[in-house]
Formats: sequence, C-alpha cells, structure tokens
Amino acid sequence: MKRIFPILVFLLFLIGCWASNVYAEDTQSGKTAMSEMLLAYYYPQTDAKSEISMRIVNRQGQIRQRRLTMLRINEAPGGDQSYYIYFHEPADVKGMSFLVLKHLGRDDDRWMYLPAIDLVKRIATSDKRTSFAGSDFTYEDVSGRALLEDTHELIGEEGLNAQPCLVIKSTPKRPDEAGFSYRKFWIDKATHLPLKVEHYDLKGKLYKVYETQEIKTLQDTPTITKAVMKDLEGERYTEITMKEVSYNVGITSDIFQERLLRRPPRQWIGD
Amino acid sequence: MCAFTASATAAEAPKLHGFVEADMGLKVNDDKLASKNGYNMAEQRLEFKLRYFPDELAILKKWSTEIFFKTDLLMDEYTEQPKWWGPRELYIAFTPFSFADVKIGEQILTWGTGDYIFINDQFPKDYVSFIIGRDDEYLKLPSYAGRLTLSSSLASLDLVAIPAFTPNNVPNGRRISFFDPLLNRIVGTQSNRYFVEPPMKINNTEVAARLYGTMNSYEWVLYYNHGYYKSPVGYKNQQTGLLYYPELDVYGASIQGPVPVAGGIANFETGLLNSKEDDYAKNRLVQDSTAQYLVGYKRGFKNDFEVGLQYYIIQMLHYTAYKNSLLAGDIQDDKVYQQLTLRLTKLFANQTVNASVFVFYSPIDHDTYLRPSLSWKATDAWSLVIGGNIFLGNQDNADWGQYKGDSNIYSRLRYSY
Repeated sequence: MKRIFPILVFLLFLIGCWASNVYAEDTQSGKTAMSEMLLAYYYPQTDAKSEISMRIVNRQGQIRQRRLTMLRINEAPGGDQSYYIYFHEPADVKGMSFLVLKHLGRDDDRWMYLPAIDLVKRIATSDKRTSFAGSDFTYEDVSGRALLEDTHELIGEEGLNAQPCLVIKSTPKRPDEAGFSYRKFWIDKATHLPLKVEHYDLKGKLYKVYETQEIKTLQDTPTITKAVMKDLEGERYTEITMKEVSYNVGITSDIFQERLLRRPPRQWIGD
Repeated sequence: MCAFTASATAAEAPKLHGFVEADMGLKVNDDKLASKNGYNMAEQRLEFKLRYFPDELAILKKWSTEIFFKTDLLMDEYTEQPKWWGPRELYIAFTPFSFADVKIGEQILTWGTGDYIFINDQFPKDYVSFIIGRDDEYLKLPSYAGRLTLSSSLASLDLVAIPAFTPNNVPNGRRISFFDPLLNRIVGTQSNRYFVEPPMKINNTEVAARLYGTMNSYEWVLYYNHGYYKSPVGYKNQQTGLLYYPELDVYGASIQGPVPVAGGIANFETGLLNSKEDDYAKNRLVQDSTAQYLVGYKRGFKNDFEVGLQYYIIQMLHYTAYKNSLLAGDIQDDKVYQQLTLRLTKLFANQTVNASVFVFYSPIDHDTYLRPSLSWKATDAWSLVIGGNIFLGNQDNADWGQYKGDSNIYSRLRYSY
C-alpha cells in the first residue's frame, strides 16, 4: 500500500500537467501579443476624436445608418478610459449622447442624455454583450475586454492578405459569463492591429467574424479606418468607417462630466 | 497623406430636422363624461427644430453661442382646431467663461433620480399628454427661464430663475374625467373649477438650484426650489371653485450609484416640501407640507432586458393639525401614501423592437396604472408605436383609480427627418 502513495502523487502530477495545459494555456508570447494589440487598437495616443459612420445591413438587404462622433481619453495606457459619444444620425436620435467611464475590474459608469426632455439618465445595463446602437458590434467590441479576463495562447503565424500575422487563441476564464467559448485573433506583426477576429459560441461554432478592411497611418499612428463585423447566423453585417480620426486634440479628463452631455463641445462635435 | 476635409465647417447652413406623426387613442372603458366619447386623442403633428450658430459676431463665436428653436404644428381633432403651439423651445446658450454655461429662453428643465416620479423636479409637466398616450417627451412642459451652470471637477452648480410661471397641465374634465373634490365624484365637463396663476412680478420669480458631483461612481445632489406648487392644490374660494397655486419651498437630496456584488444602479431621493401658506396644516384650504422619499433600483440583464423598481412614500408632516382642520364632509387623506412602480423593458430584433411596461401601484389606495407599449423602428425614419394607459381601482378619489373611465389604447406612426 505504501508504494501506491508515490504513484498516486505522480499520477496527480501528470493530471495536473495535463489540466494546466488545457485550462491555463496563457503563453507569455500570446499574452504579450494580445496586450500589444489592446494598446494599438483601443489606446493609441493619449486622446482621440473620431467621426464614425456605421452601415447596418440585415438579411433582407435593408440598410440602417448611424453617424457619430467619439471622444476618448486614456487615464493610463491599458488602464481606465473615458468615452463620449454623440449621435448625428439617424434623425430620431440626433443630439442623443453617451458618457462612458470605463473601469478595469469593475462595471463601467454609463450615462445617456435625451435632449428632448433634458434628461441625463444613468444606464443600468451591465451586460457588455448588448449591441452597440443596434449594430453587430457589442459594447465589448467597441471598448475592449480586459487582458486578464481571458487566457491568450499563440497558436501560430499566418499571412493574411500578405501581411504576416500572429494567430492568438483567446479563451475566457469564465466562458458562461462571457457568452462565447473563445476568439481567434490575427494580429498584424507590424502594427499590432487585429486584421481578423473569429468569435466562437459556447458550442464551439463560429458565429461572428470581424475583418479590418483599411488601415491608414494618421499622425504616425496606424489606425483602422474601415472594418466589418459579420453575424453569420443572422446573415447580417455592420460596416464601420472612420471618416476622420485626430489624435491629441487636447481633450482633458475633467470634461467627462454631465456638462459634456448637456452642452456638446462644438469644437469637436461640430454641427 | 490623409484627404479628410475640415470637419463641420461653421459656414454650413442650419439644417431643419423634426418629424411628422399621426396619433390615435381610443377609450376602452369610456365613462362618457369628457367632451367627446370613444376617443381621447386624434391628432397629427409636425415638428421642426433648428439649431443656429451666430458666428458672424466674434464674441458670440468665442462663447460658442447657439440659438435653438423647436416648434410643433398640431392638428388636434379632439379640440377640432389647428393649434400652433408656439415655440416648444427657443433659447440662446453660450459659454462666457470656461467654467460657466448660460441658457436663456424657453427651455425644458429636468433633474432628479426618479422614473416618472418627481420630488425635486418641480418643473412643469403635462399630465394630460401623459394619460392620453402622447410621446413621453410631452410629459415635460417648457419653462421661461434663465439657467446658469458653474462647473468644476469637484462639484457643479445649476442656478435657474423662472420669472414667468408655467403650471402643470392637469386633467380638468374636458378631455380627461377626474375626481373633483368639490362635487365629490368623478366628473367630466360638469366640473366647474377655475385656476388662478400667480401674477408675473419680480417678487414671484421662482428659483431652483442644484449642487451636484460624482465620487467613485456615486452621484450626489442637493436641491432647492423656491416658488409655487405647479398643480392647483389650494382653494381661493371653495364655493366658486376658485383654485390657485400655493407657495412652495422644497429642500432635497439624492444619491445614485452602482450596487456592489448584485450589480445594477440604485438611487435614493428625498425632499421636504414646505407648503408655506398652509400654516402647519391649520389652513384646510391648502395642501399640507410633506416629506417625500423614493428608493429605486434598476438592473440590466442579458439580451437587452431591463428591470426597474421604485418605492415612493409621501408623508404628511402635520397630520393631527390637518385632521383637526377638516370639516364634516371633507375627504380625509392618509398620513402616509405609498406607491410602487415596476418597469420592464425588452429589446428584440437588433434593438428595432422595444416592448415595455410601466406599472404604478399604490398599496394604500389599491389602484393601478399600467402603461404597456410596443414600438417598432421599421426603418431609420419610420416608427410605429402601439400602447395603452390602463387605470384600475375601485376608489373614485384614488390617484390613478379616478381615471378609470379614461383608459385608452393608442397608436402613433412617425416619420423623422
């Protein structure tokens, strides 16, 4: 009997190794690549102003358009951020605006402003998987998932449209909460921007694909100016176009208050 | 390298926006007391809005001045007359200092944490529009006001002066039947009440102030209102049915923020409504002072589903004096009034369909007000809403039960441009 004990320990060790391979597949190279991608995609420069157009096309080919201005500032690279979103179109939501204070590790603070009734409303939705403005992008797609919410594994290198890419498999630590089983990223080695993202549902089936269609270097910063998100089940897609992106326009974090909602900053919003 | 043109050039001509819509509301439990039977809304509305930046004058440009104008042209078949509503909003807004915003003119004013419940928001409201099923936007009436906002990173201050009094639009029997205490029953056109507004004088200027800030995701607010009740809750002459808007001061506070662990947003709001002419409830002709409390909670769930709950308490402050002041035949109110509300909202079809219901329920009066609605954004421009305003309750003088003969279902087709 006494001899069985070391064998058991050995077996447990083996199981442990196997388990750690399956569940904790965070590789240093995967995590680094992902962290670089998050910084390049969601955090370029300190602040940014973007003019964004969205075209949402459904199965019947019916088109809905959104036009908005987004202001962003980073509190720290890879850390908390503040966003302000002002809708220009469609006509029925013109003037509606959102304020989002993004916190790592806890729920974001979100407010909405309805100009017709001068109402500033706190938004209670904590589910980041809800659609952003009726598009195929979710709030999470727009503002990013925290690096530590997933494990990241470098699973290969591949060329995509002649661009050498790192291929990363990113698995949520809590898949049920995340609502998907994993995502696969093709990250451009040169710019660290994602060129393609495949989303796999809880059953492991591919259901959503993101593709970058155009990258421009603006103020020395490689910037995605055109992209598409395809919903394979719904046979819908959303095209997003950055009509204009300006970095370091002088946005300061103290402006991200109720005042910004009630009185849109004309120097950035225009109209 | 990048061929982007300059954004939003100031020289652009102002663009006209708005909507055109047709609304119809049918009564489902018609008490045939109001001036028309069968329906309480049949109207077509054309809204224009225009924003203009008077950049020609350097100082106005420097202050990023804007002039905003919004008006409705209403063809109201219930009153059988076209009605030019005048401007709904007409104001000038500017920023003379980096920390100060000014807005002067006819404008909508809203603050407070309640959902359809207003304690510290003493700005005028149109409860007739609310009951007949017009868009939510018409619950708020504009005020003729000047507003100064001073901002800093620690706290901000809103100061509002309202020189011209605007009352609430309350049911008066012509379109909405209601419980008339003078006749002690639910009445429509037989009601014979007159409302006297405070005259426009410098001394009658209403003042509202709000001091507010956010700390670690929690919003705190202190409120002050000095003016008048916006509903006619005082009798000048009970025999002749002459009502007026007694003086009112309100002192209040609220806090709103995330709930740890459970998630969602909770809010608490309180206000002391000091009815100055009531003489500590010795004056039976004027509404007693009250303390009001509101606790709310809302939370979003997966797949665009949201739930909101509220518990609202109104406590009369001088109840013994109030009871002693009553005469034989007067209706005695409860010392504490309670109301619960529930809001359920679910979005479908990529957020183009919104199904929601809002319920007011009072465990004191056992009456209910149900506001179900289903809206569909068929395209970016076209939308269709069907909904209802259903009142239930056996007590004729209950807050919501009194409108049971006004219950309706309505539809609204709108084209936005």
